[in-house]
Amino acid sequence: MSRYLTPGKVALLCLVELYAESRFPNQSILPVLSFVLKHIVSPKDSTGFLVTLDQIKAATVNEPSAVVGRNIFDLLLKKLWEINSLDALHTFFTNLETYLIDTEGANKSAVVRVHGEKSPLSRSSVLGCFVRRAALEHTRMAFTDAIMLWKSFVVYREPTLPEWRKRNLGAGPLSFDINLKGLSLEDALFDHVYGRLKDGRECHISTDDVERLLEFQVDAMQRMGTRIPSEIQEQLRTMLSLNVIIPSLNHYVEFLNSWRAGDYAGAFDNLHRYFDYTMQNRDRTFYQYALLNLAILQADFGCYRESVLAMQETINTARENKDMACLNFALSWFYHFHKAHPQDCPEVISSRMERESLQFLKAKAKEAGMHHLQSMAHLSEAKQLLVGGESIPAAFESILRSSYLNVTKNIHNAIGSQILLQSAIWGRLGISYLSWMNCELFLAKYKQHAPIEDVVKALCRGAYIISMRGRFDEALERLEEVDQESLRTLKVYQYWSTYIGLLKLRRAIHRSDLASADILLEQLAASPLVEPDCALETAMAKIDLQMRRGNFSAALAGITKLADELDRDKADVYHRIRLMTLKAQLLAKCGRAPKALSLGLRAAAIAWRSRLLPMLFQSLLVISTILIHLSEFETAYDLMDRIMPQVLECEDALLNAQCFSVLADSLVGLAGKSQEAERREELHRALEFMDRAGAEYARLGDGEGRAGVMGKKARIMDYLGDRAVRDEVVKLYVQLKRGG
Amino acid sequence: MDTQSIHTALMVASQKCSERCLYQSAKWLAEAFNSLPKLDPPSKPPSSYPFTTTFHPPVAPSPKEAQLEFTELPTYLLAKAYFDCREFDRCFSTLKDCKSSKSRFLCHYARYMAGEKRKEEEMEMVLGPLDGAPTPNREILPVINSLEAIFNQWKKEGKIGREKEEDSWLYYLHGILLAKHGNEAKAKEAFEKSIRIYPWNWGAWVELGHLIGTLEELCEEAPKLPDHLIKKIWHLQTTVELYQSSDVVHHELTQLEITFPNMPFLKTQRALLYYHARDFEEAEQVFDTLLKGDPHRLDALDHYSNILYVMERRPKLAFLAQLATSTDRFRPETCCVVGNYYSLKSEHEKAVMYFRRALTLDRSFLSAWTLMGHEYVEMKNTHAAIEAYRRAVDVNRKDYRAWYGLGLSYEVLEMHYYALFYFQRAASLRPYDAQMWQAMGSCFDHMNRPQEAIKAYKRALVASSHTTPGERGSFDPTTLYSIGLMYEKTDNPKEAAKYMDMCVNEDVETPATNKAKMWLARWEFGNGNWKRAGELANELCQDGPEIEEAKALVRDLRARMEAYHTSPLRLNNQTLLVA
Repeated sequence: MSRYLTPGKVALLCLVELYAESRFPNQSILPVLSFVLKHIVSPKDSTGFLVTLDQIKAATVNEPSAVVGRNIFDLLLKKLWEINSLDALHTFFTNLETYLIDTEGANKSAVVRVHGEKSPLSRSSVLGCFVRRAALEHTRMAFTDAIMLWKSFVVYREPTLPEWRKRNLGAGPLSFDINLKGLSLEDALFDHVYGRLKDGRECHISTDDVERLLEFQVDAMQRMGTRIPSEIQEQLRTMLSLNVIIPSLNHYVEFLNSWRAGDYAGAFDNLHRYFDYTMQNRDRTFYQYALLNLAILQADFGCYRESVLAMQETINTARENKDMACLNFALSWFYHFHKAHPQDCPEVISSRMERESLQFLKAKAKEAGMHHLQSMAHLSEAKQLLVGGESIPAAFESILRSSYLNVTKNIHNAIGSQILLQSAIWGRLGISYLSWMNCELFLAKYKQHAPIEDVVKALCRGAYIISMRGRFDEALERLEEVDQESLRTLKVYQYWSTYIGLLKLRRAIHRSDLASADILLEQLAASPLVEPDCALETAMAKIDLQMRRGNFSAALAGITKLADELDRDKADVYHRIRLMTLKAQLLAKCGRAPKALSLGLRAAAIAWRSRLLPMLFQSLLVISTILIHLSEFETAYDLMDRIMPQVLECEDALLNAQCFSVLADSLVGLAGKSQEAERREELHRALEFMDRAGAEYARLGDGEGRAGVMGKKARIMDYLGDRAVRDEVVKLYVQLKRGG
Repeated sequence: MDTQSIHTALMVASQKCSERCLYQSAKWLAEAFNSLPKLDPPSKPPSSYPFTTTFHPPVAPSPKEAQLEFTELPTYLLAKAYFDCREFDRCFSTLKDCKSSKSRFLCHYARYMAGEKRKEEEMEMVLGPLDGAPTPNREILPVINSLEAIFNQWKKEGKIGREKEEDSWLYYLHGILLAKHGNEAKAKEAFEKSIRIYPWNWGAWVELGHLIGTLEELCEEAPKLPDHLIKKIWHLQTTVELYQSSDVVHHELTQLEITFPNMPFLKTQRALLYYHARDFEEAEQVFDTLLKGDPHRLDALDHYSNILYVMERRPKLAFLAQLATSTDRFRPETCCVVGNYYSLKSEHEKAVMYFRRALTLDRSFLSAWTLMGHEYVEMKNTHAAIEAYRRAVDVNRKDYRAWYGLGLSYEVLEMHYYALFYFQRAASLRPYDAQMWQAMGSCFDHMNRPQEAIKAYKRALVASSHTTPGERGSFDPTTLYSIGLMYEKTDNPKEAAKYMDMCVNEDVETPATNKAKMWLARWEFGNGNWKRAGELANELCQDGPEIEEAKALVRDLRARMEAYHTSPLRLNNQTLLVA
């Protein structure tokens, strides 16, 4: 098989020649040339690898040419069929030179285009380069390769014979070679020279094509984090089956593919194979990249110790070779690794990976002009600020810096992380609508160029937010909308399925479907290597479930264990407060109000300082509950009443329901202390709040919550003496209890 | 001889050659008997077939020898298998102690082949810096000695003169070795002996043919050989190799074709005959039919490609190259065809690469050496060209193109004395080729030997008229002009003028005729024949490189004529000329 030239390229060259002969009218130049260019510059999508005659026909048959009554495809056919022998093909290539501007005699005067006259191509233009490269490749060809090219060209052109015969009645099945004049198909001579023509597809694909495809694939896989789409895999398989010299890049593609598929052994094997084959032509300078790949691979499969060792070696090698790009990348990876798995980092590394390292990274990335890395460093900084519960404006500033870099330097694949972080901040600020909007915006506008992982994350985040509003079914539907192709990557699939499990688990808990919740929980806990945030959510859900069951001691133990872990890892302050409020809630439920109060107050203080509004409301809710227990109805009412508008903004159905029911409780408590007239009014208001709480519970499908509200409502009705309504409410209560 | 007995004899000979691992001879013989008219199928059961030998390995005619062969059969079979696997040394050592003639032959032949193999392995890259003197085959002398020991033994036993057919092979091998060793006279004797005992061994004929360098030698050699069918074919082939293409040869060939109606070898000879007579169209046609008949046959395709090259049939040459490549891309013939194609496309580097490949495959492939020389000439690498031509000549003295090329290269280097020698060699091979004589003439001219130059040029004239019979009078104007110049040099202007006149009277218009016209115009002017001078000069004033000179002459003439007409004295021409 040839290195570069294929029959398809010959056809493209013919088109270029026609263009250079000024045979295209103005309106045809653009469509036809863009078709040609698509096939000679690096590809943007997966269609530009093989030029079939059908594609060319589709692109040219509707374009009129400068010759009256002929379209461009007709002219192309004429050119193609004029190559009527091996010698003609040779001459075709040697004549290519004449289409280029003669460097010596180049006159600068403006070229006046006359149809049919050659207007030469400049040597350094894209077309000029293409023509020159083709001519050069032909000169390099050995004679046997030239024959192969010629034979496959004959096969390639064969299907157009009927169309060619329309204009040239003399053309027959043997007219592809003028040397066959006077021979028949049965002749031994014909059989010997062209006998095995039909399976002579060897040259349809060149090494260059395969390399282009592989490079495109590697680029896509690295950028998007996807696996090989099956359509491309099919193309590759056909290409590689055709007696092709397999470029070593193929092993790299295989490596990425098996990595994404979660085939650790295969990935490992292929990575080593790739570097074994490339060692001879790229020398040791690429050793650090081999190590880098290895380290990331190891980390992905959970071999953290191995991975750290490999990465340390990478850093040393990169330092030795003064490869700043690799070094910076390795350092940045280390930083993230340290954040994700602090317990697996050796002391030496952890001590280095403090804040200064981020500053260092930023400076280095800027120095080396690695904008992507710099942008990511800014994001990391913002994340660090958030995790530490520090200044929100500072975090916004970092995001803004990153966003500026992304926009000015056109860094497509960092936008995902940026928007996700932004969405997280809005979530923490309790503006869940904006948070959701950000996710949707990303999915709608940046999906094409973003890594598949970011896309799935945004999707899951969005679904989660929807589920918080109690619309579980819609959330699950949304998750199902995911592109099946992207789920072929193992990690992404795991993340996605974990989210589906989590949503189902939450729904089951709310609906008091405890048996299925147990099963779901078991399944979730069984899947290994999930992202840390998923693991945390699962643990939280477990505690919720235990609390639902009334197994408070187990829940408490769970909370303590989780809190210890989070403390050890210096985890996100948000989650730590979440645990604190949960604990306070638990204690309050167990009747340990004073202890709960102090815990709640501390949580509220921290949440306020870090502007973690949902958590603040949650802790205030706990505090109010405790206050009600302590008969401080007035204070409890005031507290809840003040925050209620903002709570509603959080769009968390459970929080809303709880808040409303606390408001109702405090009003009932107040009513107990006030005069008759006021009491009635307060009780009515309490009823109103109870209705709203009931509505929120209903939205979640939480029968138990609703039943609780109904029970209270029935009692108030009873007090108010509205029997008919009371009976109805009691009936509903019984129904809810039964249907629970 | 009737067809059947020829058939049988050829078949037996082919099998004998196969037994002795003489593959090429076996192939040729098999081709020969396959081109005979088909025999009638036998109607009797196989046991009563008249020539059982044709179905079984032929048994040696003498009973003693047959017995020996039978005893040694296991060893022989083993050794032959080794030989077929190109394990020559092993074959040789296996057969060391064998006594039968067949085994002895194979034993010595294997030893010689082992030497050849080693020689090839020691060879350097073709025309590389170390590719100087050919490495010798170190086994030749020992084999000759041991062969001669056998012959001495025979002498003692009084066997000489009573040798059997199976003994002829040893003489044949002896001949080959002697030829390789440079002892051509003795080699010829050995071949003659071998042929006299067993004339069906085609290999012996071929080797003998290689030793014949000129037509005279052939005439000397032919009567010494027994009259035989094969001799006719050999005579034909050798004549063709000596570039003879007279009607006699054609007739000889036609006679042979009656016996062997479809033999591709003979057809190829016919094509070569046409080729040497520069009748390219005919030659092309013969090759075309040959290719149609057997597209897998590569023999002599290099000559075909030369023909197409001269005819500048590029597409066809490319097709031929494609055909040859699809048969076997590592045959010297194929490489030559491809090289020729690239040469025609003016891609000389690639052409040289392919010729070099051909030579790597077979160092004694004559065409490749010569063609490589041509390529180097094209690439202006005269020294390399000379070496390539020299190697060609060393391989085969009969290639006039190589001699001629050598001459041309030396002429480029302005070493005319050398060049002359090579042109003479070329001319002796092609006495009726005007090109050679012209080249020789110009050499003499450069060496200031105008008399010899005139002779050479006149030969060229004769030769050129010889090659185009029936068209008397169409002489090559360049040669005529050259002769004229030579006569001028020898102070024989009248004779010179005669030739110039002949040149001008040729129908074609070439630079030479223009120059001759100019010369004549001056000559007439000098002779006072102003009118003719004016006519000639005016003709030249139309165009051509002499235009300025001619115009000047015309002006001069006009001035003088005016002066002459107006002058009261009417001075005579002579005084004007002196002034």
